[in-house]
Amino acid sequence: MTLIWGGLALGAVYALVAVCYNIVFISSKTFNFAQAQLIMVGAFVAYTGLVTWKLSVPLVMLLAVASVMALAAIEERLAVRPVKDPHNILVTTLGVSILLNGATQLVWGTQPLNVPFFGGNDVLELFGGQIYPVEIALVLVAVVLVWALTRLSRRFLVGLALLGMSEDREAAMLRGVNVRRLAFGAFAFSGAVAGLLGMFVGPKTFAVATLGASLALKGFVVLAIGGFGSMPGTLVGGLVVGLAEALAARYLGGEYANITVFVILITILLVRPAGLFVRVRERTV
Amino acid sequence: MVLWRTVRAVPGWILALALGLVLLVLPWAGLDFSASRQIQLTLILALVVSGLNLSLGYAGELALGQAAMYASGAYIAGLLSKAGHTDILVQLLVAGLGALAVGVVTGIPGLRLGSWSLAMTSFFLVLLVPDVLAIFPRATGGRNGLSGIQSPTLFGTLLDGTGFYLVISVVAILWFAVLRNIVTSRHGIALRVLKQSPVLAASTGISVFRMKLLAYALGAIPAGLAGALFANLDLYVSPEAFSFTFATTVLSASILGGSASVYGALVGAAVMQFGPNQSSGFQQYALVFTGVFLVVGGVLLTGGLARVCRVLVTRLDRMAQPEVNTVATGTGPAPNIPPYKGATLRIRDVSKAFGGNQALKDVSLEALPGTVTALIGPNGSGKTTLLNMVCGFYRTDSGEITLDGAPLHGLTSDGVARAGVARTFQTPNIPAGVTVLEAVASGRYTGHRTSVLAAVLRTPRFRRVRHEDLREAERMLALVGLDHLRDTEAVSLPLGMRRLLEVARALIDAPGVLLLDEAASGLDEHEVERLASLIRQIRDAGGTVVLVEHNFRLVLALADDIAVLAHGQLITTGPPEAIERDPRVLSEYLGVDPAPTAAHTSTDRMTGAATSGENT
Amino acid sequence: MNRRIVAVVASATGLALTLTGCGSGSGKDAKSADEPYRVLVTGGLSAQGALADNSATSVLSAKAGAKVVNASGGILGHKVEVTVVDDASDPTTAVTKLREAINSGKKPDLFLDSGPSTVTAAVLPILKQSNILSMNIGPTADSSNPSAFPLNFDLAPSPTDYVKGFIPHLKEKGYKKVGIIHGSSSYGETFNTEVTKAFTGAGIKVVKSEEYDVAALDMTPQLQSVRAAGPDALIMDGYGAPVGYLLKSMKKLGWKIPIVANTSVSATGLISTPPPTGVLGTDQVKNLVMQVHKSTKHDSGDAAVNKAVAAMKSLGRIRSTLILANNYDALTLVAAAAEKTGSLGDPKALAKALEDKSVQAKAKTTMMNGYHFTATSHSPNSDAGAFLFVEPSEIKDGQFQ
Repeated sequence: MTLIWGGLALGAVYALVAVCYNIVFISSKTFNFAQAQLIMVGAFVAYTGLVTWKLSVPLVMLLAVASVMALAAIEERLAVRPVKDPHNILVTTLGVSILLNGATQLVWGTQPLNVPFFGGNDVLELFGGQIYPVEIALVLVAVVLVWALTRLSRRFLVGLALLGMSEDREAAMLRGVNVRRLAFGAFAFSGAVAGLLGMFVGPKTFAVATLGASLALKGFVVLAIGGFGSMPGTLVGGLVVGLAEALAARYLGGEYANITVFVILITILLVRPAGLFVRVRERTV
Repeated sequence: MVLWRTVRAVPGWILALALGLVLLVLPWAGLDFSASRQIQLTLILALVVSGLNLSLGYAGELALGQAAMYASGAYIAGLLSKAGHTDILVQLLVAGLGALAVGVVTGIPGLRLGSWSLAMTSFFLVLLVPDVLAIFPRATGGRNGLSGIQSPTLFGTLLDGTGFYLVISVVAILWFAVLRNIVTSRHGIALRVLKQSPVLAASTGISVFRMKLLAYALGAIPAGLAGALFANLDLYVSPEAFSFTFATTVLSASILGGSASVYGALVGAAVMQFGPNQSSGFQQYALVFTGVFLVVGGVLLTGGLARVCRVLVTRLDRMAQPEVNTVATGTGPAPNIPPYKGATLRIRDVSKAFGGNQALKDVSLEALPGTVTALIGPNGSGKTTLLNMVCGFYRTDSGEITLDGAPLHGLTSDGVARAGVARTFQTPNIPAGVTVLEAVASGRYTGHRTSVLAAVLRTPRFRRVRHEDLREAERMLALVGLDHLRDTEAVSLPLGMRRLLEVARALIDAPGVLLLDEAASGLDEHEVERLASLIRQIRDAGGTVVLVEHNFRLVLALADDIAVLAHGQLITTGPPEAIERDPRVLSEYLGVDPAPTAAHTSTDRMTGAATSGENT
Repeated sequence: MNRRIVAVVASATGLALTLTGCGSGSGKDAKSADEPYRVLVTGGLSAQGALADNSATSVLSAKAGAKVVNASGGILGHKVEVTVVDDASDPTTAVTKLREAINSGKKPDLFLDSGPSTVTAAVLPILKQSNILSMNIGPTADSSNPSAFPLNFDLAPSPTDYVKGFIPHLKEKGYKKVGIIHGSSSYGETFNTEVTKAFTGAGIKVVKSEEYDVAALDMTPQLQSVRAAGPDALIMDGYGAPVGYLLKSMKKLGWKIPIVANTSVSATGLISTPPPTGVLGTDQVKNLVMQVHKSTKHDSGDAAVNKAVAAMKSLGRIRSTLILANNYDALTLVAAAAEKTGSLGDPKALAKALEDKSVQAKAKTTMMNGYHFTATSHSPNSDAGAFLFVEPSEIKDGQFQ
């Protein structure tokens, strides 16, 4: 059971990364390669707030959300908006991710830093398995976030507009939706979420300058399994990847963890080319 | 400016060749070691990048697998060398073929799946390289890398530093010559068609899957060659050299240099080699430098440095020749279309539903050679759906579609096109970066085949086909009155001309059936007239024309037979005179009372020209 | 022949007899007295992650070694000149930088690297070709083999040496069955192979060996798999964040087994930092001991090491542990060898002298108590006494307290 819990918690981490990718993808059909690095910065800010400055938890949360949101907003203004060719966005956001890796290394050094979790750091017993409080929190946050975002995109005008933009930018513009402001908003929002997540991911993974790379790759896999743009897909994708990794490492050996995930990805894509939760539309002219 | 004109008079490949020659004599011109090393690394990177350019820039498919093919080339060469086969030519040959095999094997599943799948599977392929190598530690050295590679030889002679420099340069020059020959050939145009839209490619008979696989697999060859060269340069390879970081370097070089360009690969590789790859000089600020470099480069260089150069060249051209010859508009007598045999298109009881929405129900239609059949109906009545079903983009739920008795339903869309169905699009669909003439000639791609190898070697057969391509395309341009614009970039034409261009492209291979999807919308009077007379000519030559049109007047003037669709069902068919008076048509389609004075619709003004002088 | 005469005449100390006794010259003239002894040190100062700290420490130790040697008059009167280049811990970059240095007209006389072993593997063939003496702290499978690389010496103990150090400790504690958990890095893999081989030879049973991806975020499954095999102790390899994940998972599993970790674990900052930043003093590290070099544990009585630490501190902060500081001894070794050959001009003669036991004894090296190079092995061949097993404590100036 401990194994399952661990797999779920890890899957939740990946799913949260994928959720952040999705927020940007849904609103502007681009990928922000630096998304995982934003979460990493969130973890570092949480460390500084909680450990170095010894601030209270709500204050640190506010600080992490605000600072990472600001970073994402700056990224959108300087590295995304001025870019005219969508292919170039791959390069500029990749540039931002490398920049953030380098900058965090300069500011916080290269050694892993322990981020304490505000909900306690002692092992709990749950349905016959051991689990850290932060791992329960990660699973809950993932579910709640996906639920909230799905509701948001169904209920609210902004959600509709976000979807509208990704389906057809021109049509959305004609309907009077301010595409640019929404793209900016989505970026900043994804930054705010990333900052908040730093508070939860950091205690599980430490704040360390190589965290971004570890998160980014698996986040993409989760996205591909669930389907680009699908929020519920990230949950299922995270579940699949997290459990597959844990079970493969336990019963086949650590060196087969990645290969197992790859085989699952290929199998899923063979059956559903656009991922589990996205339908392939018949081609239109 | 005279100087500029002289320079421009020289074909581009001469300049490239001259650059290549300079590269070859550099060692005798006092090239110092560190510059020589940087040049060699740049050339190796450029080879890998050029492979990606074929896939990303020309076929429009994002792929990251080049790093894996580069790795396979390097390990193949390293293992050959350790086994005693140090001849560089043998290694290059085997490494190139090995990488090609990796490309084909990994490309097939990725491309079958479509959309983002190739990007995803190739991305994973790169991540798995170290794992795969680690599974065979004895042969590959595992994560410790493969050491003990022997110095390369050529025909039994040991190569020294300069000798190997020359080998790298010659391989790079030859590959870029090959790439240039492919890209400037009809295959290159076909790739651009594919990049513009898979739908367009399929409608011109190109198999999307095979074309993408061709681009991806061809791109594996230079990566394999580069791997072999790299292994022999440092005599050591480790899995780290083929990491995801390398894949992103290749991607960045491709985009910064300009993916849709041959020499952009070289420029992009130089930018990355002399930029971020030198960043270790910044010590702990290296990552920050690389990051800033990529952001600034990505923001400033849309379409890469290649595009910047092209814009510059165009501007200089304009300055050199302020008065471009615009006098000769194609108003001269248009040539005639030689008689040809159209095919009979028969649609019988075709139905189609999307989810719960019945888009078409039991529609039957017949289009005969030497006639114009029009399909009309209000928006959403199913006209375009029917067209897409004929073209093989949608599967029929029931019913059959035949061309001269042979079934079309069940064929892939490119198969339908090859069977003789040509079409135009509601929104003109024209590839970027090609001239008007090339765009028209692309309609002959599958009808008159030559192999890629023939294009590389410029064989007589290739030359003959190319000559015919151009001659036919010129004839078509004259027919639609665009011959004065043959060298203009096709996408820069105004809407009306783009429509005419599409008609020319569809017509160039004498199709059994020509489907025109709202070809007249957006045309001015003059252009509508030209289109109308063109359609009549096609009919008179014996062609089969199916016209989907909103312009009621034009339809009445042109069609021999009119089919009216509403809510997915055929309400009536008949000659124009009958349709004009059909009360159901008038109420359903025109939304007017069945009074014959319905000449106040907004379309009337535009069609006036077409109807005047009409004697049907 | 002429060349050798020139060499003899030019040689500052003029120990002509010794020189002629050392076989043919390398074709390189001996140095004139005002010419410095050029040392090229590469290190991944711009590398990503924790590698940068290690490289910085290694480079710092080489510089300190040169400073100390220069303060006592250089080697045979030649000043030692250290050039540091950044290789980003990347083999290709290291090759580029080395080739540039060789072709710059000021060919280095001694090459030192800061690891990792992939850099060593990439540069060794070139060094051999260019006839340059070299020492490294990232040994490869054949870097200590004189018939493959006659001019190269490993300063870091080989994995075999390290593993030899484990056996007395395990025997003393009475562990009969052990499990191994190691990373997917090249070091982790070599460590695993060597440990398994040596332990089996010494009658200690390896019941389970599990690998984890160094980029993974959770190793609980692998630990469960090792636990299922029921070992007496866990042998751990890891560096950086994975060490933290491993310890966290151990605590989660409630698995309180003795952990015997290798040197790379000891170089991980988390272990030696108290909470809340690190885990020092928490029950996560209660059962942990780590292998270190003798010099890595502070001893106020060890004047030589303390002098070295002072020299390093005067040049910069020691960011990692002294395990990475073996380059400090490189110039002491070269000086002792030159003392014997009487010249710095012939790398082959120097290499031969380095194999001499009396030279090694004279060298009075600091970071390791002895480098036992022989004609058949250029590895330090350290005995078990060169290592200690320490419990986590704070690290001050590269040393456990």
